Amino acid sequence: MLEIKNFSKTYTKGKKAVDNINLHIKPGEVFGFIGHNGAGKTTTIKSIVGILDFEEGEILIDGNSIKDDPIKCKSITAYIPDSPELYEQLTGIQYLNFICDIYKISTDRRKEDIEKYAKIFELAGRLGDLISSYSHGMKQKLALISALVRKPKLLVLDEPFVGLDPKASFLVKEIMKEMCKEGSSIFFSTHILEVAEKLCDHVAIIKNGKIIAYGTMDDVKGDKSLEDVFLETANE
Amino acid sequence: MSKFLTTLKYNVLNNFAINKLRKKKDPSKFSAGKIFLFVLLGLFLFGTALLYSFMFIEMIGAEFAETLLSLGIFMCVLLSLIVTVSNAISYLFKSKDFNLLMSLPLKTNTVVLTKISYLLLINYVLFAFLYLPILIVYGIYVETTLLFWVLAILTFILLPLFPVSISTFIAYGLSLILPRFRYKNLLTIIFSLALMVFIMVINFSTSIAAEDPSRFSQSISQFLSKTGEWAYNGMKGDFLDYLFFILISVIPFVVLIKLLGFVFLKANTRFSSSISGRKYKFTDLKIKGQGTTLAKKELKRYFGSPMYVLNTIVGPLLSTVSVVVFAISIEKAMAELDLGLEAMQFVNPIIVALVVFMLGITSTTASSISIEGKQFWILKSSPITPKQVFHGKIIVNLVITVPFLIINAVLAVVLLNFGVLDTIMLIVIPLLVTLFMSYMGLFVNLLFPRFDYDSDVKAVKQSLSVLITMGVGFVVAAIIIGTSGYVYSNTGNPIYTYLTGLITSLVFAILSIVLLYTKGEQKYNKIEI
Repeated sequence: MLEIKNFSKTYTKGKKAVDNINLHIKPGEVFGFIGHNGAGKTTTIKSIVGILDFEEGEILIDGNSIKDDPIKCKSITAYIPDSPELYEQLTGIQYLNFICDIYKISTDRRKEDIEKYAKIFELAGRLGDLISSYSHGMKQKLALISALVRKPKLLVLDEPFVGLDPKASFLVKEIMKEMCKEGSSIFFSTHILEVAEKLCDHVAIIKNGKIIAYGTMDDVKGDKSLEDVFLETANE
Repeated sequence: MSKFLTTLKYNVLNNFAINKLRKKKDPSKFSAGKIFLFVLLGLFLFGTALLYSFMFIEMIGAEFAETLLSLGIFMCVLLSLIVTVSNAISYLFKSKDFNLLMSLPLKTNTVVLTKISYLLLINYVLFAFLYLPILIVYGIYVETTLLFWVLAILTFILLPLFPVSISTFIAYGLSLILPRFRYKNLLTIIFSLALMVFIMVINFSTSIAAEDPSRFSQSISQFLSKTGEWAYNGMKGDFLDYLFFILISVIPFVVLIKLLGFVFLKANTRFSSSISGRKYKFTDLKIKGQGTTLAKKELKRYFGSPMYVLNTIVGPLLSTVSVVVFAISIEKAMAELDLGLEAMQFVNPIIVALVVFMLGITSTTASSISIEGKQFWILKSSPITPKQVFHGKIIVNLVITVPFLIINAVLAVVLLNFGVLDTIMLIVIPLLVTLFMSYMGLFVNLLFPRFDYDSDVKAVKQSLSVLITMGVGFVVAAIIIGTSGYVYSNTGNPIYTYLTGLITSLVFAILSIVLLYTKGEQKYNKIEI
């Protein structure tokens, strides 16, 4: 579903933010992407979803290159940044309608799914309010609903659990599992290693732009905890 | 609906904050009262433009009515340039919805077209309140044909294309250069100020209208950009010129859309990257007092936002430009009227009045609470008193205004041979007005803070507190100038005139200080975020 080949990203002054990384995520997989602050996680994620230009390497989504065929790639992808910038002067329902219009989701389906997820995340009663009146967690929930109604084949999440209450975090994890059962892939970054350990089939640890550990969860952590492995690699 | 129209629709809904016209209790319905007030404001602005257009023709004489249209087109082009350059960088290359839009299945060209269309829409709204009233008044005074009106409407549609293209190219040029520099905000401020002064000089040059309207037309055509000149000639019947106008409007616009389609992602990536400075080395950390720390924080915030600086420095900057322009014009007039230097003592208070009027236009404090935005909690949760916060904010307005007051005084001494009393008054009265504006602006912002913005533009430009402060500043400046003018016309004595100005401005300054330290402090404590 997602293939990253020899991908590097250089910002100004020649410093590589990401250095020659290779990753492969199959359909139905939950992939955890972990690393310390400034390691290159968000740069990689933004390049995957086509909002950051890059020169070296290739990123394929469902076999299509994000550089050559971005529309095809984005049509099957949903991305939620760590702190979603939504249109604050729209109401929640207007924002969801905007996303549904762009993804050409039928009226019946959008109504059904919006109602379903808004109920799950306890946001139904607030959909008529301006987004500017939402708390951080509510904005995060709205962004999640907007991603879920797209029924994406690839869901890319940057720190999805930041700002969510315990119940919403639990629900997100359940939905992620459900989506994978239906064949979607999930690629997410997190600092909450316990969640990554429980949820992910595969994991990659990135440090200073380079992948320093990559494989199935069991391969990477062995008989230690993911936290131990991460701290060991971080201190090397 | 196409993806372009869908995106544009939601962009307009969001950026024009149309949902604010809905009822608070039942957001599914629009509020008739709010819509009525909105329409009333629109009619007021339209009516004001109509009134000024009529007054202009009355001033220059109906036989020179054609000048009005050329002036209208000229103003539209200038206005469009100013508005678009300042908006294009933040809206095209540093916009907060870039990540959202680019992660959606939208072609880059669609995103670009949406953004440019929004910039055009802003221009159409402005032109509706400038170009259309002028056109109506022009139609009343000058005989026109049906074809003229068809071309006039076509001109309305085409007119923003050229300035929007030019401004966007400039903004793109800046997006190429600025990220390479560590102090990109400072460079943006310097560049924009240079552009602003250039436009002010052009604007002042047209003020010779009252002297000789026929020369005014010539001076306009000297400064009028080619695009406006061709449009104006075309509407008067020169079709070849109109064809040039169409081509000069459409071709750069199409090139702009195509070019931006290619470079949009790269330009935004460049802007989003930041240059990491040298590795930080720990040195002795100096201890500063709370007041100094707050003032320093305020100054850093101020100069870190080009939009904030550019919108609030207009008043002091205009005061200096007007002193220079007045000095040049008065010298000519005195020579023509064969008046001696002693006549200057009667003119000097007018310069003080001019500076007072200009300083009543802006104040950094009118948006200094709003500009805290989501970071306001830092101040509220810190062990500092509201007074300390206020002082930090007021210092910013003084820091940017006082240098201009000193420059004004030096210029007045050098160019207009100001004496000791005139010079002191040129500093003290405007300083009192600056104090009034600083305290009053802050008080009004405490009454009407706006924290729900996504870019500094909305806090600095599109907020009620800034509008009210401007209005109050205008009224107070008018009272100070009016009472002083009354004394001057009755006594002809500059000393009494200055004394009146001094006392009235002192009274207003004291009133604003008392208001802020009493009601203002209460408001500050009640603000919830």
